[in-house]
Amino acid sequence: MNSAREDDLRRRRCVHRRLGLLAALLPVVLLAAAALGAVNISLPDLVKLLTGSGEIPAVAHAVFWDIRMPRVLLAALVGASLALAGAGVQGLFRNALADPALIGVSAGAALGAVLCFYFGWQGMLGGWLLPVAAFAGGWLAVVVLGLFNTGFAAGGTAKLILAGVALNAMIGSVLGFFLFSASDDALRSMTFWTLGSCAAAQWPQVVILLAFLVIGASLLWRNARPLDALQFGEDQAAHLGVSVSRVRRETIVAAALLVGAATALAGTIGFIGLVAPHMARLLLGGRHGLVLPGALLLGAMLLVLADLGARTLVAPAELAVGILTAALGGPFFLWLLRRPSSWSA
Amino acid sequence: MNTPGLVASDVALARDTRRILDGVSLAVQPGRFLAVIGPNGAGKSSLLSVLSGLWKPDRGAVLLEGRAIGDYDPRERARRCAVMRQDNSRPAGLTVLEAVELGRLAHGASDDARAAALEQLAKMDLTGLAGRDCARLSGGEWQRVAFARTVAQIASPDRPGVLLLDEPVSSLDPAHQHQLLGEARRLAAAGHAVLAILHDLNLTAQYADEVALLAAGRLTASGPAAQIMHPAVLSDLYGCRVMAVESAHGPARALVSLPD
Amino acid sequence: MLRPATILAVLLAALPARAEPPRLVTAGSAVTEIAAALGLAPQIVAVDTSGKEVEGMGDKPDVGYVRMLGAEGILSQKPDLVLVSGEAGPPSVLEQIRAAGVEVVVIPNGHSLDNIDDKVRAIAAATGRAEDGGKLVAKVEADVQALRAATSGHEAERPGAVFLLARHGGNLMAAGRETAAHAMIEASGGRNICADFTGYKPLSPEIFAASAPDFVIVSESVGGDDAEILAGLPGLGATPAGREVRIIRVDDAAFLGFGPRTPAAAAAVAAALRQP
Repeated sequence: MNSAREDDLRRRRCVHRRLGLLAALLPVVLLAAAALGAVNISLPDLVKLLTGSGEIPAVAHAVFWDIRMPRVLLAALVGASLALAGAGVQGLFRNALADPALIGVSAGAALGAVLCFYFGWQGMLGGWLLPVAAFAGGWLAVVVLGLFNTGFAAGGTAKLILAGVALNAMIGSVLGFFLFSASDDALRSMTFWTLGSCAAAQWPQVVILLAFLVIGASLLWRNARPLDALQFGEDQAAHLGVSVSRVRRETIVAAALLVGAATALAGTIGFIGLVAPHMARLLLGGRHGLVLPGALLLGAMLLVLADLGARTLVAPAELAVGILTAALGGPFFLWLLRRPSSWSA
Repeated sequence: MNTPGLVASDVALARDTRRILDGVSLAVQPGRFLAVIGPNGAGKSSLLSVLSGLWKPDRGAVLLEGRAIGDYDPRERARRCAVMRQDNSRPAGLTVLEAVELGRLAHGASDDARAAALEQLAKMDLTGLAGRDCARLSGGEWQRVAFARTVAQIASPDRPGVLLLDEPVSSLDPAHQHQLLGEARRLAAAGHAVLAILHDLNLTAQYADEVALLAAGRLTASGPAAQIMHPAVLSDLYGCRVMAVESAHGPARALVSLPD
Repeated sequence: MLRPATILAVLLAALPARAEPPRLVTAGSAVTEIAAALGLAPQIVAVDTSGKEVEGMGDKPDVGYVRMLGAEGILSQKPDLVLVSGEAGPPSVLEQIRAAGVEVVVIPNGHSLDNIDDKVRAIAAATGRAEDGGKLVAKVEADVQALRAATSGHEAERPGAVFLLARHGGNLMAAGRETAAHAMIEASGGRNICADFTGYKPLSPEIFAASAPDFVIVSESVGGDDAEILAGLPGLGATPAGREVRIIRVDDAAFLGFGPRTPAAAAAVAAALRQP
């Protein structure tokens, strides 16, 4: 029995070390991404910018602190939020292919944004109407889902998924109507928005998203062990003392907050919510106590790197970051399919 | 008054005009191993759902240690009453040890879940599998792990609990069937209240102190095992021929079921 | 004793640096066109995607779609001045460019031929090209006068016309009121038969219910030859026999851009509309 205990300790230490490595890697990736971009900032200038000493040309200062840093941080926060929501939803639905889009929040947010573009309101409230409308749209979708499902407490998870599918279809048809009859310019804007972009990042957005991330992450973190227990099946989890309806409600609320805020500020960005939790599980095992922070770190790094590509590959123009995440996500999934088993979910 | 154990009184349950349980009363007492047997579809698993507090009966009451089971906070209830269901999904990416540790979820963060889990694994002779991924266990191994987890859930130095087991040996080979049921019997002897739904007549006769017969939602008989495990009673219950075979070796007699 | 060469070097260094012409980034096709027409082409270091269509701008770096510009991309071209049309965005990007110390001038979009010279004057003022600006304004005004002369006096006989463009995915859309196309049809001496709705609407049989067009003005986005286009128009089977519907093709940037080429484009359409 002692050797089993020791083996287990060794395993845990190894996994914790990996998590630590990921945590250490994040600031490195952030710094590297902040160092690169369409505007060339030399290494000595970078050091001066970071240490706040020496003379720096005004453009470099503005680019680094007012344009790039908020953007890199926003990308990290968006990636982290999407990944966390993905991990939570995958745990709740006990399905490694689950995506926060299942609860309708992405479609609802898209509808909010599309409406703004359709009526040409995107500049209103100093440009803030757009994210507010998107966030409101996301929430409305989740509330409607709750109504369909007679509250998240009742019914099982299978019912919830079906209700989500129905909701997404309905929102999709409304979206289609607006897309179909939009003016050309509005349509271009809608298309760009739905492909995702971290370009409109400024410090207020960063602070706001950080707040949402903290709230969403706390909600999920509280439910880490209950989500583990849920993997035995909902009935068995209830027998273990888990309040299944509460876990379901809190997980969905957390996912709605995280995805709603991230989508409101950066448009719809796909695949991070699917890929990052998967990678976290591959590296760290199945315990949500590790998968949640792991997904957060991996999601942040992935999107920061994707955003780096988005703003450098076709400089001085930009690619929509959603294109890059899809380009990376697709092959990743194909690779996953080729791996032996461990698909039981 | 704090009557220990689990007591169901006149419990009835109906779904879509179908009567699943009809006036069932039974008691799972500390120190006793009660087996519930009956034909498929008799309502045994449903009875377990009601006894465990998962489902509310339409009529009647279930009392855990003298208190209505619905009044318990889920965690408090889980600390006193553990259920092992038949259909357990396997958590992806967890080791056996981690899965068994989850049995201690209701005991809170300060609990030494790992020690309790290792102890149960040792008792079930599963220590060698502690580091194995749950997905890579055979059906029988997984069932034994689930049992270890269930026992870990109510393991406590001073306070016995209630164990409800739904066909706990359905996937096990004979040796392991004896091992698990032997462990269940030891737990009963140590003061826990054990209820197991079983299909194997001989195992029932060997390990249960008391047997209750459930057919079509009704308790047709209950009493000491020696009394109930009688060919005539069983033939009636199952609707097929059950014979007792005397033998000079091994158990005094074996029950053999034959087609009608 | 300092050597003469050293003195010369010191003097030269002390002179104010010879002013380089300001580096320009333009976004919005009309803005780019006007800037090029003012002779600023050598100073334009980057344009937006639509600006690349302007003659001579094809090789310039592309800073993206005018409504979704990137601040860093524009700044990487080291501009001294950024000229953008009214729909340029997102607004935060323009702010970021200003915060980096680069001037951004927004040239408001006009929706009539009379606004073109406002745009020219604004761009000329921002870039210090008053003289060239004056010449271009004069030319534009002359073109507009000529157009007005050619199209006035035929109010009762304005031929019915509709403007069509193709959406991605092939649906044809017709222009209603409050579109640049509507203004241009009217300015070209035609009558927009789809004036009962605003914005663009997908083609449907009801669109031509009130009256069938004599002319169909077609954006360059619409593919196919004349016969294919005519075949695709719903409800035209009801036209009286012998009535011909004629197709006029236009260059979108010129016809709809309210830039320096617009009056001429309108004149060409006007001439086509007057043909019996």
